[in-house]
Amino acid sequence: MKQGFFHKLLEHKTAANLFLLLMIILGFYASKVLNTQFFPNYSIDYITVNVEWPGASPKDIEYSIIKPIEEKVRYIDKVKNTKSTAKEGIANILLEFRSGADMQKALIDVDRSIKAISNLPDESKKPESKVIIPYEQIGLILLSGDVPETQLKVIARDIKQMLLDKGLDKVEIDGLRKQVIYIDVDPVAMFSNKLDINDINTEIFTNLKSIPSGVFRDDKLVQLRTSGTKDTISKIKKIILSSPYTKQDMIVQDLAKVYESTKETESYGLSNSNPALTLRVYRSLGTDTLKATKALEEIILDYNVNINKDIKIEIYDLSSQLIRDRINLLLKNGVGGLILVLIILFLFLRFKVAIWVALGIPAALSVTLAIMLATGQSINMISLFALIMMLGIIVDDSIVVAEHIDYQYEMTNDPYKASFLGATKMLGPVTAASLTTVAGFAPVFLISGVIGQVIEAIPLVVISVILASLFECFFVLPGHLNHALSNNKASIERKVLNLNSYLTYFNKNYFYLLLKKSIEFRYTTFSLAISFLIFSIFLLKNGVVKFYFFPSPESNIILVNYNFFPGSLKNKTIEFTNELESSLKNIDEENIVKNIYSTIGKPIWGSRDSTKEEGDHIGGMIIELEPSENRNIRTSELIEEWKKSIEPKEGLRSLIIKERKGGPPGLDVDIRLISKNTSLNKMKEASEFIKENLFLYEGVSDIKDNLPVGKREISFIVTEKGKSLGFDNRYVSKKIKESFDGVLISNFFRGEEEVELIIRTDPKSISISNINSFLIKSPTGGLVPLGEIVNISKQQDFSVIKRRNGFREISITAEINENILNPDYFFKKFENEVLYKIKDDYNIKWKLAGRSEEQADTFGDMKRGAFLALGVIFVILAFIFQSYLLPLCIMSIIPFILIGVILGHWITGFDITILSLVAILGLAGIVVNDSIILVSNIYEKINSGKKVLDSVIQGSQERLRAVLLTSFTTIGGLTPLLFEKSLQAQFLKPMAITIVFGLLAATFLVLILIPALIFIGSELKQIIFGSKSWEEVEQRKQ
Amino acid sequence: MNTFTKYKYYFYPLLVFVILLLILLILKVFQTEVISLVEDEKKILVQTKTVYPEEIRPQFLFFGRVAGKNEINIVSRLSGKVIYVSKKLFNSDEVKKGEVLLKIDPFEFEQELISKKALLDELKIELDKTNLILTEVGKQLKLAEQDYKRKKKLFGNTVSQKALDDAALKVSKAKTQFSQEEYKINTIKVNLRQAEASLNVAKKNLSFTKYRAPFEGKVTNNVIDVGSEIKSGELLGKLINTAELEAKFFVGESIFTELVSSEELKGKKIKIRWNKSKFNKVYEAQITRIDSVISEELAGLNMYARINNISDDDPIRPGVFLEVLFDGNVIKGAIKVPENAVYEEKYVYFLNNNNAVRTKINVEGYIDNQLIISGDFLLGSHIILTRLDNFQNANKYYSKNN
Repeated sequence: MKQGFFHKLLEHKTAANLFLLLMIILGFYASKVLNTQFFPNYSIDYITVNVEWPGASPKDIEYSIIKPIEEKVRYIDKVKNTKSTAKEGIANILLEFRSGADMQKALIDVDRSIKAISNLPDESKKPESKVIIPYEQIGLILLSGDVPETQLKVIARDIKQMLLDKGLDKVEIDGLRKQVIYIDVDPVAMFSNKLDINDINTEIFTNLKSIPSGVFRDDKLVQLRTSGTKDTISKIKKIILSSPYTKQDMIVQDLAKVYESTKETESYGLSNSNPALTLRVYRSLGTDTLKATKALEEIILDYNVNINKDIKIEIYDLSSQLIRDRINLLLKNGVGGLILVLIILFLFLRFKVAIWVALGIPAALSVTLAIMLATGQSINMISLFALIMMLGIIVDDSIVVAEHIDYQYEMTNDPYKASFLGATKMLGPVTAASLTTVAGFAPVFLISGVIGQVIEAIPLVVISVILASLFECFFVLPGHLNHALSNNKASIERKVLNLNSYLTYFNKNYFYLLLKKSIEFRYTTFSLAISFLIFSIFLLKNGVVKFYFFPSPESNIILVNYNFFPGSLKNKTIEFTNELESSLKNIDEENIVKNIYSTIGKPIWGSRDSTKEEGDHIGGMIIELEPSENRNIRTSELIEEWKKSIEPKEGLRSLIIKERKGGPPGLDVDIRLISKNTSLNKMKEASEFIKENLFLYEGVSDIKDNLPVGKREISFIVTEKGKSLGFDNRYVSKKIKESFDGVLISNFFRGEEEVELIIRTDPKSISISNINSFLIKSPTGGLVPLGEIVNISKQQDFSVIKRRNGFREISITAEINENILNPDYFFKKFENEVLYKIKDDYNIKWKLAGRSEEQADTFGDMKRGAFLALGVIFVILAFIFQSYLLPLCIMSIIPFILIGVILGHWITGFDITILSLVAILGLAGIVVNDSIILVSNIYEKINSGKKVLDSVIQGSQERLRAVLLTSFTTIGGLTPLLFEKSLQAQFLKPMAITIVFGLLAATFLVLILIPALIFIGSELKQIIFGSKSWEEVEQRKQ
Repeated sequence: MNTFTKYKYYFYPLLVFVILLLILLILKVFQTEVISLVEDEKKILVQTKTVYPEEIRPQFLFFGRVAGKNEINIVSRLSGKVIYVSKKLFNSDEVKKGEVLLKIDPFEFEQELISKKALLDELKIELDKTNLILTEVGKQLKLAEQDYKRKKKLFGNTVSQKALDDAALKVSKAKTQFSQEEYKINTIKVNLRQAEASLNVAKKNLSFTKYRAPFEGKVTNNVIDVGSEIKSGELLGKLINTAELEAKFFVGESIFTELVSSEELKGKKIKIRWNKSKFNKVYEAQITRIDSVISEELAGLNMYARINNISDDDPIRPGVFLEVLFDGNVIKGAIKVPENAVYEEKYVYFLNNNNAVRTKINVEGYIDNQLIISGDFLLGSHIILTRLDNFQNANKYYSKNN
């Protein structure tokens, strides 16, 4: 069957060419259709439940809303985790589902569970639950200028509409404050007329109809047709109010100031001390980043032509720029690698053979793209990385098949027979080699979480490449070689450079001697290999070679988050923002700062350590620098210099400046305190204790926890006297809210802009000294001093409370500078010296999360996966070679690849990263291939009855070329990346180092150690089962 | 040598491991300590205030309004047509005492005066006439009595009984006539007094046609104009004494009891702040009276204070809304701090060797939006004014001021 198929294929005149053509067409189509994006799509299914309870404190929200809901939804089918956040007035419960959950059903389940809860507070609004649709940010648009904020708002809305019209999926405007018409009532005037806010509100509300050009529905202003706000304001000012005191009419203006402003409680943006907005542009997972970016760039370019020069519109933080850079980088290195691979092929293979092997590369790559398309993958950082990694491997199958065809041709001088024999004889080993490579990468599939989802693109690409490569080497290559060799009978021996003869010379002399010595001193060989292995592991364990879990390429984005002590005024935040901006400009001698956007009143987005707490005392900043290639100063250096130049500011609680890190993992240090019943104060104390100790370590920075203390609140309890006057808590809190927070009379639209009409007591007239005298209208209509009816107390509470899986949880986060402090050492010491006290002294459970948790999880998954992979590789080999010992022999090389990997990182000064680990998995597959080529040949010879020593030496010598070729092509493919200077590549280099150095060492060991090991093995076998000793062998040899 | 050759296959591996061990040992020995601790903890810059305890009066703030000291209603005594209204009424200008504010048509009242005067004159003439008659009658009575006396003496002699009886009858007649005249005069006199009174009323009514300001002040709410008919008893407006203004303000029961227990409130000097958009002025005032009853509904009472030093061109008017600043009793050894510097209403932080030291204090009251606190303060110590949170053990504090 098999033979029949290959015969037909070889006899067919056009099949090979047609297959090749088909492959290339498919690849071309796929390259046009494949989505380009930054990271592979990874999505965790989430349902979020929001419940509003205006005015409620985080503690009340936690107790009365989150707890009951959590209890109901936590055990819904497939819910993996619940994360809840209680903030003032709002509860948020985030349900993380296991992959594969039916989210529509899940949503129905969640809704049903929530509906079953009967004890939610009456004042709370209806819980709203929805499935989170994942979006990816593709870029930001900065709008700034010395112009009124309203003008920026109009432009922002305009651009947003244009972007949406162009098919971009989601646009958010950051820093947009609502327009509000404030009616600030003078309390003295109000009280003297025996009125309160609610009275005036009612009168104004009923009189709103006097506003011309308004559209009313149910007596409520819904739309203002003209843009005449001034007109509206003057009409409101003239609204007549009747005073129950003087029985005389007066107008709103007599009592209140009416003016339009932006909403005071909302956060907003600044850039270079000017008002600014940022549009955040997103794509949905199905949209191509590069195409979306192109549309974005076109719109902004067009818009900029017609815009006032005072207004600056700039695109920044464009993720597609990184993709373009990375694609270019990888393509450049890929082409370099390809050339090296070709040179190696041409040096060692017959010209015609080399040509057809080389042609296999684009063909296999094409099919890889097609398979990627068919399996729903995309072009992204990770898949491109995998493609580059596979560049040397892609030809391995072809080399093995072609080399064997060549060998058979030399033996038989019959191209047809040679092609046939080459293909059929190699079908087993090559398939085995391919399967073991797949098995080597397969553990990556077992890595769970976001990291797993992101890097599973690697085995997907590897499988695609291997499938493509297998197809090419068996379906296309034999046909072409048959044809090529038939036409070239005259020049059988002609090669471009006859390196083969040098190789043969080397093989017969130096390699033979080396092999002989290594077998003679096999225990020394073995102990040397073991020593090198121990030495390498020692280097890693002792931190000489460092391990850095998930490095990020240098970022052009700096994120800043700071907060003052709560209660600090907005002016201070603005002042500090300006100081930060100017200090940055002062140190920016090279002019590398491209854009700055600051938020006042909230932290900057995208920062992993932000609590998302809001308030006047909080601010953030995003800074875009020139691309790292275009500047001499590194982002981290700039940050250090900047930090030094910032003058300390009074009342600054924390300032965190850091480079934005890409990739999925959490923060370097993330210590979680978990408790069910411990009071928040005690948990905070424990958190402070940890923070205090973290501060002591050099190299630990940006220390923060996520249980922030909020603003002080004034709380009221109605006194007995108050009750006797007819007041109750609910009534008083309503009245107080009306008086101090104001009442929304109406909100209406002016064009597209929503305008709120808010009446409140003039904030300037309320102070701590008159709060007791502040008058509240009693249910009977009299004005009673607040101090007479309530006990006023001021309290400061936590502004955000976080829960996870039903427990209160505080996360204490920090960053570690790995150049100063080794994280593994640090954690060990910190656990022994500090963290154990948390359990003893505070009776609170703790665990390590963030990078260390993810690292541990990933390692755990990888370990399990690695064992599984080894088992699978063993099974594959045992099946194909029909032996139990042979696979063990083949696989014995695997542990020794660590020597090359660790020493390679040591020599080049790079850290070992997760990419190195992934590459080690791949490397194991590649090395096993080399080993298979060698060991299978030796065993073939032993099985054919040859002496062990002869078999080992002969077998090794015969396979030298094949082993060297497959290794050198793989090394060649990655060598350019090893010498790449660009900063982007620094992130990928550990992978190249792992494969290049690992393979160099492993190739050497395969050729030297494996023969020695086989001999040791056979010797042991003989010692155990037979009588032959080394002396006997020695004698026979002589 | 032979032994070595024999065992070389075992010796070399051992040598390899020994060398390895040596290398590892050397590396381990020369390995640098990877963890170092930092000396400087997290620094936080704070604003401080040096403590100098002093005597401070807390300040209470109430809401109130201005009222005139006396306010009267302008009520018409007469009915009639208004023929004149002072322009000052329309402009709300100040009017002088005795100044005519409005006039009612006086014709009717002039006529009445004339007729009343005529009546009086008539009565006076009649009185004179009756007086003359009375004199004559008196004379005749005297003559009759003399005649009777003479005849009585001569009775029995020259005078007969009849003549005596005649003389007695004459006397009796004369007496009766005299009494009649006397009565007549009294009646006229009464009429005369009545007529005089009527005349006075008419005179007064005439004068009432001109309404004069009884005191210096301002008229509010005037509803009349020239030509309008008014009725007697109709409210025409209000005249407010602007020379003396009073602040009327509401004080909660608890504060009132606190204040009243410590000092005499009547006569106490307070401050009044009138703060209206661009106008901001503080006036001196003195408490003049206090409501005698605490309102059950409002949990407080009104107090009144006379506002001093109001100049003529001062725009303050009765009816304006104002804030009343009331100084409390002196607190000794107190300091003023912003409200932000006080925690849970009973603690402050002192800066001591770069540590924030929590210290208990008492909040005594407020002044100028600051808190007055007392406690065991060390003279010259530094109180932290920057708001901290209650969890800051990891920090080192540095004063911005020093």
